[in-house]
Amino acid sequence: MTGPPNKRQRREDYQKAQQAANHGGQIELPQKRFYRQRAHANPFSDHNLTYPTSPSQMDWSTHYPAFVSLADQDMKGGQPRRMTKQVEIADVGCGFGGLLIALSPLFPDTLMIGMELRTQVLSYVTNRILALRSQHQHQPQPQPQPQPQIRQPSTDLSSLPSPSSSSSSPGPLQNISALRTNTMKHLPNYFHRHQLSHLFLCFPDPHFKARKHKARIISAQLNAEYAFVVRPGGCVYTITDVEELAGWIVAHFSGRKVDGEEEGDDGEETVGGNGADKTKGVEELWERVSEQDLQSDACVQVMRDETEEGKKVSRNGGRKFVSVWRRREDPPWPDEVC
Amino acid sequence: MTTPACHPFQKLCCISQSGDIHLLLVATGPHILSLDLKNGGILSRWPNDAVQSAERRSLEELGNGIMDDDPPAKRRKPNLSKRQQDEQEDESRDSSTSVEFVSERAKGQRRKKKETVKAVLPNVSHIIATLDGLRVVATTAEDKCIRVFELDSSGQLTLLSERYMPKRLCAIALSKSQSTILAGDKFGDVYALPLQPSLEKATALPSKPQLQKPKPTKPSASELTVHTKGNLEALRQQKLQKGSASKKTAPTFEHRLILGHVSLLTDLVVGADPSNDSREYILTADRDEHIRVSRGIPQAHVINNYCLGHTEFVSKLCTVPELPQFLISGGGEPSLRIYDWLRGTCVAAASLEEDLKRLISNSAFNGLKSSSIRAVSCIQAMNVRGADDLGDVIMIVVAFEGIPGISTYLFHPEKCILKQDRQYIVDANVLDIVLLKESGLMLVSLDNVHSPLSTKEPTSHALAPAIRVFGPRLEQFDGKRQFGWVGYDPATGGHGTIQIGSFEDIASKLNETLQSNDVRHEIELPSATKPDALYSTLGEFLYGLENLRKKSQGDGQEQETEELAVTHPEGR
Ligand SMILES: C[S@@+](CC[C@H](N)C(=O)[O-])C[C@H]1O[C@@H](n2cnc3c(N)ncnc32)[C@H](O)[C@@H]1O
Repeated sequence: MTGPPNKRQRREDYQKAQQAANHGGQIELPQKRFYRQRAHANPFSDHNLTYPTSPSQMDWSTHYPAFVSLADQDMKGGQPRRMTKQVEIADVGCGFGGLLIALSPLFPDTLMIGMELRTQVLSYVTNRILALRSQHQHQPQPQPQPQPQIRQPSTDLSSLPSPSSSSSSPGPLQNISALRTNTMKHLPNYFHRHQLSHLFLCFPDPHFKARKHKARIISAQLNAEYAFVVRPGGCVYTITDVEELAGWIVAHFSGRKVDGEEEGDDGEETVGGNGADKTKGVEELWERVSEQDLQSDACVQVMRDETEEGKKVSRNGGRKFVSVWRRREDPPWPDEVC
Repeated sequence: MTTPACHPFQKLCCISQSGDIHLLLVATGPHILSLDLKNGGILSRWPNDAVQSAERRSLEELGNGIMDDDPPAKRRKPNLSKRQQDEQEDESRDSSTSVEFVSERAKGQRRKKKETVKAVLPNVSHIIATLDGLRVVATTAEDKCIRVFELDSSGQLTLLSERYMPKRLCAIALSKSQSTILAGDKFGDVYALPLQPSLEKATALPSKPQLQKPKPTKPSASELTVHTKGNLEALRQQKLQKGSASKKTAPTFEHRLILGHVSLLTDLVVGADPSNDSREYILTADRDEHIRVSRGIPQAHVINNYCLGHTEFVSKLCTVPELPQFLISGGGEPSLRIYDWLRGTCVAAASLEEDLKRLISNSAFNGLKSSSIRAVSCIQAMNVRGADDLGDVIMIVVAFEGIPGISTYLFHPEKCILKQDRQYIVDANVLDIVLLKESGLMLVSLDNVHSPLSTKEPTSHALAPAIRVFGPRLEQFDGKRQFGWVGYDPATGGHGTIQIGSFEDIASKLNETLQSNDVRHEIELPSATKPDALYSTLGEFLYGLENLRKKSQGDGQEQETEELAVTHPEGR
């Protein structure tokens, strides 16, 4: 049971009207109040999701029409249309999409995808991006405001999305999109090994209770999967306003327990690195990016100031804890060491 | 009826120790029997009566807290609105302790009250053995225990260690070195445990879980950091719970979490790198259609690749030592797929739907009916040589859940051709299969309690638990000599032409032994269940794969939010 039916009705009417408007000229920006949904979706349910069986089956063409390979405009033999670029930036649990919209001009030639489990929230982002794209098409192009602080992100140069001449750059916001999925289960359905240069985990749901920690989007088990989709040199960006969660994140990427965390507490462990022996766990795949490097990373600032959660925390006068983790090379096999 | 029903043999495991001792281990309910494969005689039964009564007592002591995955029943707060109650219900659902990847309850439906634990022995769910046959590892379902036995040349099983895991186990395997047990559970986690529990870290036998001391907990959030009503409520509760004893138990023996899926783990095998002897990989399958290939310990957190392509849950994985580069997987579609697993490429695939239909129609005697979609429940494979010009081929034996028959396939590794071979009909549902590589025998355990094609209806005539034995033969077929099997029918003793050795002796003796009273584990016949249930209570244990199938969710809030289609940017 949700709220009174008239509210639901209003929302549906509104969303229908939005869709109808999409066929005409310029699209109105969606209003958040028509896209409210409960704060949590259970990541362990099935949710009637649809997803590609493997990354090569994923059709990105509807997400980034400006990046469809010209040589491949028609569907061939049921294979998805080829793209001129691969997605290289993922915003996991993108919420209302503030991060993507702010990142779009920073990496105009890089495809970015927001991944969100809640249906209402996802349709809000999608409609928001559509509306912004159409506004740009219908207006005489204002020069994109010079970004005062386009500084090199901390990511290694080698792992940066491949640059391309700005003249060939498609219109603004053509490089961002969002889709509905449960990233805790389906990241490998969307991304090949080492496909991503940036993976964002902004203000993840804190799941305060100890017995709900398994639902956290950062865990030793999941960090191994993030290491699979993020290329060596690429980075996972995290930010939270919950100090305990910040410690949890550091503990799970660095393998070091931080204050207040106790080993064996409700059965949580770091993958591999357990206790006194020297065996390394998943933390050997990550190294923390230094505070200094973060200062010059535009992504960090966007994460702090442009996400909806980031804004909310600022309004409430809360603190923000940032940690960024660079993907190391895979360790040598034991037989390669000796 | 006079003869009481007996538990079928739910798992088989063949052992060839050094020398030529060939043993068969069979699990029947809570028991493991060892049988001599040369003369069909019984060698031992575990637990024997002495062990049994001790066990029974300790099980009673353990009581509810251990037998139960669930948190203490949540009380509904009477002063909460319906909406808030729903939210509470939902919270309890996504908690770590009540995560269930299967059998989702419809909204508002309460979890069934657990019956008080009866003094029953836990049922054996998996048996494996080390390559040298000197150690046997068995898991039991209800108490989530991993037991290691010594198996001596006389077939005697001696319990060496018992380790109680936090969650119910779905798959076990041994590392290539044979010194580490890999155990996957229904929450998707895989643990590594030394075969021999290390002394300093392990508690003395038996290592029953102990209640943890309550720890002072400090809430991780403050009113500043939570924004939603739900979170505020959670925080309030967290503060309330402060200091209350934690019912959680943590194993005290050495065990290492080495990888995890956010899904139910369905199977786990260790793969050998064909080009590098010293490297091994861990291949894990889950309910969400994934097969993951990770490095072996101690680097299992390095994911090498995925083998994707299944469109339903993956139910079984199988490799063949002679051709280690291939992985055979089966799933709920039902389908069979062959992967070059190190590259993550599928080299051959076959939908088994038609074969399954054929099996069903060929075995649907006496007007028995069956749903036509069943999952692959068992895959066994072996290298067969000498089939004329084809060179080495892999013979793949497939059983489907609740189907009284077997379908075989041949995979030709050079040409990457996978084709259906034959079907064998038996008189009861197939539960497990083992292939004896040296002799070519195929042993098949049958479900003697359910009616053929059914996983819940009791059979109309109580049968003795049974193992069917098939002997190998080479026969002229299409002008070529081909490998096949011929079954031994215990009722008639009849068989086809056998060219390789003689197996009727073993077959008849095995069956004789298995009828004897010493091996029978008496049970009650499954009673009639609710008409919409798929399984009887025993069926849930023997089968249960259909629980992994994703149902499109019914009405309720989820549905409401699903209705609103998402318009994709400029979808054409
Ligand atoms: C607190 S919000 C943060 C939103 C956004 N990143 C921001 O900073 O404004 C966390 C979001 O993650 C989403 N989420 C949680 N678990 C998820 C999962 N397994 N897959 C995809 N999204 C998930 C939630 O639906 C929610 O919208």
